[in-house]
Amino acid sequence: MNLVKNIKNGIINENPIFVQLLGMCPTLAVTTSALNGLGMGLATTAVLIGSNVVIASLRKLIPNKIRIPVFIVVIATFVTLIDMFMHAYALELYKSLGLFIPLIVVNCLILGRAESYASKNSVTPAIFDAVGMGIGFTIALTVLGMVRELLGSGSLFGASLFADSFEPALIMILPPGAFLALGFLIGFVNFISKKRAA
Amino acid sequence: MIKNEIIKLGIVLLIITSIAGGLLAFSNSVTADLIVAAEEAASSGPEVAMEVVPGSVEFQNIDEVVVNEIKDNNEKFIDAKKAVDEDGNTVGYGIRTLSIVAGYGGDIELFVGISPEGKIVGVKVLSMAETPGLGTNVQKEEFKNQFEGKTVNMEIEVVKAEVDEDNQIQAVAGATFSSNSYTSAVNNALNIFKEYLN
Repeated sequence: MNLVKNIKNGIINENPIFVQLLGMCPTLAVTTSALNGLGMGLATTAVLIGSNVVIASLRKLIPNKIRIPVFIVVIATFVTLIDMFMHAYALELYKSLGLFIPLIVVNCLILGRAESYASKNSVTPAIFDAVGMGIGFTIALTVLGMVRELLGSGSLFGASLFADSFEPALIMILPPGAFLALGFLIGFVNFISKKRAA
Repeated sequence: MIKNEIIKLGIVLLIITSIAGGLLAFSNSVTADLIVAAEEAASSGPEVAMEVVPGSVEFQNIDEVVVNEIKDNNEKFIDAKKAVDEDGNTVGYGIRTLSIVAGYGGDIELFVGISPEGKIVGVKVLSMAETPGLGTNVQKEEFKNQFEGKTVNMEIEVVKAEVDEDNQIQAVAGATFSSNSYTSAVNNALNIFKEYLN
């Protein structure tokens, strides 16, 4: 029961993007299209699961004083693995995410979960925590990417939706559009959760 | 003893980083060849050949001495291939080059297809970092189709207004920088063809 709660926690109550506002740099930068958002979300989830599993299983062996460097080494190893395999098997996605794959290393969501959850819990709950947070992160990035792609390019997952006469609002796929879309989405999520609480 | 503790922590960190390093070395040896193959297929594979030189089925290497000679004399040049049809007849050449004039986001990398008679038959963008929705419009048919049929004996010129000379093409609205950069790469390819491959 608790494990299901872990997942729900990551997706809704403590959604990394909409509630905790963690990992804003990739969030704002790569969500120019739904597919980019989804790809970044999945890559981050894979790293998160890997690092949570390793850190939770080694938590009793890692001396407290050097835990942060150890966490970073573990996370960086997984990121580099993802980077290599994505380069080999998903070249197009690799090119559109570019610099932001190596930057997953410094995504505070991953270090945050390692420090505040995986290093204090056993492997199974740590996996569920990573899956929940990962799904929450992926959903948020995909939704943000969908909104920006729809308004900024007039398409969804690369498929054109409007006639040629539709003039997309370019600003939405430029950096300011990321802030606008994120702000409105967070406002919307807050509105819904307040209503539900009342 | 503090000294002992430092050594102990150092050894723990050493063990962890060694394992990580070993793992990465192994996966690098697995993916390195795959990455080279994927990059090669994406930049010079049969699909690119068909797009750049219509009627061809794949690219084949040309004399390495010629390629190296061009490389020595033209720093923006990357590669040249001949495009062959099903029977192995040469139906054109593909010249891969960077732009001479930088665009808004650095050099644009193009594959320019030229027929044996010295006419442009197709152009494909391999990589660029222009502004999405503005500079990236140089990939659109309206812009890039203007180059088809231009010959190696002219220097293509970008104009903002209507085209009234044979060697002119119209810039993408709002993206003169990108249009100039793109055109400089095409001109470089034409010059290379004229000098070395004709």
